[in-house]
This record gives sequence, C-alpha cells and structure tokens, in this order.
Amino acid sequence: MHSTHAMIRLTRDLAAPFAVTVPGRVAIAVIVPPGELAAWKVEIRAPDGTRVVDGDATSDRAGRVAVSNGDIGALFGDGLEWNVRRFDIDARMLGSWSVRCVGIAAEAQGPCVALIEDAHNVALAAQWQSFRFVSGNPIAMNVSWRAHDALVLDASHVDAAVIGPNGMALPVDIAAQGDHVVVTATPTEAGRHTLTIQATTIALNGAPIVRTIETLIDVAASGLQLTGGVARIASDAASETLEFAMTGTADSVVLAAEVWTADTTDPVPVCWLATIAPLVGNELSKSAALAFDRRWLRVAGVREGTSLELRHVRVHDRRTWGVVDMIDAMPLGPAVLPPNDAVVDIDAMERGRAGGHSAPMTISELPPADDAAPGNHALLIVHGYCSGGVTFPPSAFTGPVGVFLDINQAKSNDAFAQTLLAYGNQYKSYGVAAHSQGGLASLHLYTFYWSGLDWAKPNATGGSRLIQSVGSPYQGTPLAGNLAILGQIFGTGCGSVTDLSPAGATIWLSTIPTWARQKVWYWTTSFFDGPGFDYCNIVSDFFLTDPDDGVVEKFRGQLPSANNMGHTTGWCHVEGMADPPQCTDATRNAQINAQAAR
Amino acid sequence: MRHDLNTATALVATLLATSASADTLCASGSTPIPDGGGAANRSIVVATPTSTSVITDAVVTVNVTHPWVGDLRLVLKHPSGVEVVLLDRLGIPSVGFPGPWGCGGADIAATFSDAATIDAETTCSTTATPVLAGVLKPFAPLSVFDGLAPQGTWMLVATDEATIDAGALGQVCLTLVTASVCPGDLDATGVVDGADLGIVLGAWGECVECSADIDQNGAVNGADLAIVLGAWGACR
Repeated sequence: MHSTHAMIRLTRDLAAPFAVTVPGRVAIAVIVPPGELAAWKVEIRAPDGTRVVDGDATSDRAGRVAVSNGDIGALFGDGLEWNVRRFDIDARMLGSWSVRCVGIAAEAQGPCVALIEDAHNVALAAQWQSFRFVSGNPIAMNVSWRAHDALVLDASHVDAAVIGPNGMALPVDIAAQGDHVVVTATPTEAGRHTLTIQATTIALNGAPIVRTIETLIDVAASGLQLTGGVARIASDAASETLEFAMTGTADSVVLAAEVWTADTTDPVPVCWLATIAPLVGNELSKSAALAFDRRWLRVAGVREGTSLELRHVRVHDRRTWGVVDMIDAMPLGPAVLPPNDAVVDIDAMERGRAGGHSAPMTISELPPADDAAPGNHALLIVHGYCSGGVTFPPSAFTGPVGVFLDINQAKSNDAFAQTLLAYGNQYKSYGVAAHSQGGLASLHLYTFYWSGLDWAKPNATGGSRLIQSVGSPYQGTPLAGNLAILGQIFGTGCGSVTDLSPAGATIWLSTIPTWARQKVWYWTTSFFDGPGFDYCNIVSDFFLTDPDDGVVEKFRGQLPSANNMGHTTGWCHVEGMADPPQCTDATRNAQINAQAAR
Repeated sequence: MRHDLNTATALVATLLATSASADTLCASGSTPIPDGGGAANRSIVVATPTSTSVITDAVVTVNVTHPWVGDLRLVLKHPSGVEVVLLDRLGIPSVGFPGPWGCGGADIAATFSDAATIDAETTCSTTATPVLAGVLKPFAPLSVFDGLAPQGTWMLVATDEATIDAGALGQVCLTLVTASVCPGDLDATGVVDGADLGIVLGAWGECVECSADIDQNGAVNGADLAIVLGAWGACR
C-alpha cells in the first residue's frame, strides 16, 4: 500500500504543518465530531503568516481557495456521521504552511483531524513482511519513500503506533534496514489491531513533507499448528482424504494445499485444494482433512506410482481468515491413479475440489423476503458493507427478486456469506446482483458453502451469469484502515472489516480458486473527471488512488480470472457522493437482469 | 423378454410360473406431474394364469423429466396395496449439501434395484443430467414384495411435493423375478400332470439351467421325476 496523504490528529489550537515547494493544489479536510462543526473554525496560514482561511473568511493574497467549503454527513453508508470541511487551495507561496483547528465555542470538545494532500510527488509505501498474524509472533512492515528522486527514509523521522484490541498501544520497534525502515511490534492477544505510521522528510526549502499510513489487521490466537503429518485414506476408487495432524483449539479451520509431483527437475502441478474443515479428535490427536480427487492426477498426466508432495500447506484461522501456520513442502507418497473408467468431469471436479463444503454454522435466520415465493428461482440483490438499505433498485429487475437486507453491518466475508446463505435458503436457486462487499461475500459463499448458487440455471433467455457485481473491492480498499483509525478517534459506526483492507483481501483472495472466480462478472466505476469535482467523496479522495468510486479504486476492484465487464465514469459508490450511485445505472442493471442465472 | 405396449395407463402381460423366471413389462407415455402436491400414476397390470408364482426379486426402471428432482417422491405399489418408496425427495434432509430444497438436478432415467451398490438417496450432482441414472438402490428395499403374488395392477406414483417446478412421468418398466411354489408344475398350469411328466422325461440326462432340472443339480434324473410324482395333482 502507499499513501500520498497525511492524517494528523490535532489537539485544540495546535497547527499541523505542510510544505509547498512548487505552486500547486493542496487539498485539506478537517473532520470534527458530529454536531461540533459550528463550534470550530479552520485556520490555514501561508508561510508569511497570512490567514488564507480563517473560518468562513478567505484571503486571496497567497493562495486562492478554490473549491469546497462545505459539510458532508455520511462518509460511507449510514454508519458514520462525521462533520467534514474541505478546502482546495491553489498554493502559490512556497514554504511551510499550516492548518489549525480553533475552538470558538464551548461545544468544541472533541478531537479534530486534519487530512492533507499536497502537490509533492512523494508517497509513503508500506508492505507487510508476512501475512501470518498470530498472537505472540512479531508483525513487521517495511516502509519506504516512493518518489521520483532517490529519497531514503530516515528511521528517526518515522513514528508508529500499534493499538491492540483492548485499546492499549503496543511497544513498537523502528529500525533502518537498507533503503527502508522496518516497523515491528508483537501482539500479545488476538483481535483487531490498527497500525498508524507517520513519516516526515524535509523539502529543499526546509518545509516538512508528512505522510501517514493507516491500516488494520486481525491477529489470530496462537496454538493452531500443523505437526507435519498427513495420512491418506481412500474414500473411494477415485478419491482420497488427506488428514493433517494438528494441534490447537478450534471448531474448524481453513485448510489449503497444492499437490505437485515430487520430481526435483521438472515438477508437475496437479491441483490446488482448499476447504473449511472441522478440527476433529481429542486432546491427544487432532486432525483436519482435505479431499483429494485422484482424477486430477489423470488430468495432469501423472503416472501411477509417481512420488507426490504437498506444497504450501496452510492453515487459516476461521474467524480472522489469517494464516496461522504453513509448511512449505510435505511428502505425500506415490500417486494412485483412479480407475480407467473414472469419468473426468472437470466442472464437477472443480466444484468438488473444495473438499465437500462444510455445513454452515448455526446462525439466526433472517426474516424472509416477501417479494418472491419461497422455493422459487430468484435473483438476489445483495448490498455491501455498512449499507443503510437497498442499493440496486429492485424495480430494475424482473422475475422473482429477493432483496437481501442486513443493514449497517460490518462482517467478515465468511460471516457475511453465512448470513447470505441463511437468507438465500428460502429459495431453491439463485443468481446474485451484488454491490461492494456483497460481491466478495457471494464469491465466498460459492467457494466454501453449498447454496442456491450451486443450483442456479440459465434464465428463460439463456442468461447464465452466477454472480454479477458492481464496485466490489476484491483486492481491498485502503479506506478500511483509514476508517478504522478515524473510528478510534471519533467512535465507530458500523465498525471495520479487515477482509476489506488490502492485506486482508490478499489473504482472503489466496483461498479463492480460479473455478469460483470464473463465475463472477464485475464492473468498476469512478467519478466524472471534468470541471468541478474530481472526486466522488471529499474525504475518501485523500485515501484513494484515482480513478476511484469514492470507496473502491479501479485497480483494486479487479478480480483476476473473473470476467471484467469494464469501467464507466460518472458513477460513484453510493448516494451522497458527487456522481449518481453506481447501482442505479439502468443500462447496466438491464444487462444484469438479462444475463443473470436464477 | 421386454414388452413395450406404449400405453399411458396399463398393460397386461403373462408371467411364466416356472421355477424361476423373469419378465420385464413397460408402460410408456408422458404424464404430467402437477406442481406442489400433484401426482402422476403409471399402472402396470400383470396377469398370470395361476396363483402359484411368487416374487423373488423386483426391479423397476423409471424415467422422469423434472427440473428439480428434490421435489419428487416415487412410490411403487403392489396390487395388494403394499408400497415401496423408491425415492423420497432426494437430498432432504440436507447435510449442508445439496441445500434445504433437496437435489436441484434435473431428470431421472434410473433403475431401482436392491442389488445396486449406489444409494439413490445420496446420489446428487450439480453437473450431471439426468441427475439420477444407472442402477441405484431404492430408498426402501424392493424385497418387501418378495413372496407376494405378481399378478394384478401395479402402480408407479410420482408425486411433486414442493412448489414452483413441475415435470412429467415417462416410461416405467417393471421386472419381476418369480419362482413357483409348486415345483413340479413345470408348465405353470396349476396342475402337476402328464404334461409336466413329459417335460421331465423329454429333458432326461445332463442339463444345465433347464426348467426340468427341478432340484438344480445339473441333470434331469430320478430325483426330478420323484418331485413331479410326489406333487401330482392340483397345486395347493
């Protein structure tokens, strides 16, 4: 991930500096708690001390206040109600500028956060060293400058904070390592952790350039481990069960592995396996299993008796979906081919590769929809994270339509999928029109559970698309981390979802196979880049890389191996943004309706 | 022998009451299975000239077109009213797979036999059509019919027990293996008489799988003759 913004928490009347080394636009937003907008005034000073912005008054001596001086209510769905005031300035005076929150009434009690994006082509880049987030194990992030010139990050100019689930800050180590800095902390308990990194460099004119990164991770409890043993148990002539010996405590785990031939010179990949598996056994002996369809050996051209091995055997925590243990290679023994008359049905084999989908956990049933008869073959309209209601207009779709409503929720993809499964169970079969996280949840549902998606059939006109999504952050969105930090400051609305962060999405996508992705047709959109607004949302614009729809960046909205239906401009993620909400595009909705399997 | 009388309602056939024989009777056509509780019946009338044969095995082949086989219940009814459930809403109750509405696959072209190794109730594929095919073990054993007389009107009842989807019952074939309870009555006339004696004498000597070898020892000899003479007269 990378950042071109600075998010700085200001105490009352304290100024945040920003540098202007070349004339250009600087965007500044100030966020204050709900109901306190009138109690604060924003003061922006030029290097000569001129107050370019002083409350509602603006001066044109050193810079022109260009665009916005307004409020917004909801940043992202109905869950958040922060007051924001944004200024876009054409800064002509070079040097060190500042922005300050000034309390002008007794109601100015809460914190004030300044978001600054200057014209410098300098980004702060960060990358996790490992996605294994387990309590007791260090987590480490490499941080460096990404700039047009060789800019080396100085460890002494880096500050970092890791906040654990109990709200306490963890000890953080910041050390230089070559041309980058490594930020390390060791979580001591499982749960949500947020990480904030602030780095500063000094421009040639002495003005400070500040960048911050905000992200979040879910740390799993320690204890779940592979012991290195795997037993092969024949299920029938064409398949076998691979039982992995494990230690630890959990009802179920996510297991994944690759099957290869063990040939050191020319190894042949056979297949990829993953499933949600119950952890069975007693205190002395526990195991979780993957199903291995031996017909993949025939597909790969493997001969009887060829030595096989498993690679990248991974265990993911069921709750956090994070990797908790991995073994790079495990011998599997000789290949046992299926009978010659075993039918090689690739579609069926791929669908079965998840190893017999686990039954869903018990969850409360949602109220049934009243818009399609139970037992019907429907099109489900599925909203996204923290949605306040329906996103796609139901009237845009014909035939039985099921409107999934689980409003103002922040659920992991797995929990979301199980809720969707419970709702969808009132229908025999269905295709899905999904918005935002609804696309990820639908894909997760299809990958790991049996549902009405498995029985969806072409509609009367032959449309056979299983999952069609708009504005889904398949590769995450930085907003997940930004909002998590803002939530810590101002209080959360719906709450944050780690699966929606770039790191969380990377982990999640690593368990989503190609055969499932191929059943997804997806669209992305972004704002109309013309005169006036050049963003969808005045706050998320600070965090996202253009083009974006106010929540999802175009590049992170891509789902490799799925069906990219293209990108359109002039449409934003939800209502209340600069352009109309993307789910109301009648042309696209007509296509979704015509092409949906049911 | 296979009879296909192309009638949607009934057929009549004669089963030979030898010591062991099998015959297949079919009824073709396409009878709608009404949605949500409606049933389609296909009757097969089996006529035998005597009451001396009993069923030792029953096999039934059923063809159904239906987009959601999990809706269906198939029952084979013996003329006496004894019923065997061949299929009872495939996939219900669910164990995660295939979902709360049962197996969503389409169509049946399957033979139900107790000798099958694959259980029909656990056979469901998201990709195969017909979803039930080949020889399958029925929900309840067809051996319930063993020992019953074959003759009379048999009925295959296909019921759609859920809404939304409907289908049609196609050809039904019933194979009954019968055995005589009057072993000397080789010509199944209900009487052991000179005709039966003639059959034994005519086949005298080594004989493999011939009806005159009543004790099935590979030869028609004095032992078989003794059975005929011992049972002389009307069968009881």
